[in-house]
Amino acid sequence: MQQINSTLQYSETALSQRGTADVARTPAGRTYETFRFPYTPQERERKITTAKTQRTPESIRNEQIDSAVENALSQYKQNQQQEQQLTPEQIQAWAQWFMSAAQTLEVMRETEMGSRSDHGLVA
Amino acid sequence: MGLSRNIAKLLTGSDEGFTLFRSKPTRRQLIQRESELGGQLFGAIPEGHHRQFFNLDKNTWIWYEEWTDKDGKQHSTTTRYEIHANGILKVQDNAPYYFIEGQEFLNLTAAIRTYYERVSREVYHRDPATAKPLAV
Repeated sequence: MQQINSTLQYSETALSQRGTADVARTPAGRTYETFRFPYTPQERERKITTAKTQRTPESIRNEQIDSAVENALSQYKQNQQQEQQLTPEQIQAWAQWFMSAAQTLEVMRETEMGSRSDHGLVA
Repeated sequence: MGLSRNIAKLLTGSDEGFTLFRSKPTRRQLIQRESELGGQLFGAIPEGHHRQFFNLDKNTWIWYEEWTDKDGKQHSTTTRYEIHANGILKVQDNAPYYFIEGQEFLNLTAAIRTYYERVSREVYHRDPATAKPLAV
């Protein structure tokens, strides 16, 4: 993960130094560049076309950076999804716990209503 | 402080004696108390919204939310979470049912655990780990 983050930071920095730029203007009139990432499909297509027809050492390096960024992002998203996914066994265990907790709450209610004597059933 | 509570305090020396004069709560009243607390578990409630979250029975948890829009029209939505042995089914009106997973599952898990913990302590004054009355 650390390696992915490092790659992302490096690559995003590289992109921001050269990336697809929009010029925006602040209320005070000062201009600055904002960078869009990832590219839109049209931008991506244009970049590929340009890269195929006008390959330079610079464009080749940029392609490599883009590729690294896309791979890193893809890996990052995949890792995040895997971290959030529970196994069927974990889900079953939680479901069981929820039912036990609900039963314990029911005992507490019944005790409070006076329809059941106190005892120690717990979730 | 009401008259009957004043009388209870005079007779017993504390407010606790007041409970002697109250009838036992109904199941509905208890769930109402739980649901008010449960509604606070999901963060800030938007202005004009009323939210309830509660355990209905062994297999059912309910999220209910109502609000009034800017035209004064009332809206409400009810979400039912059904606990099945193999997962949790989310049921909403006019929406396809599905088994929740990922972050949504984790969020509900956190909410139910907190609900159980707080309701045990704050509504029933019991230790959630043992279900025994909390020491005073």
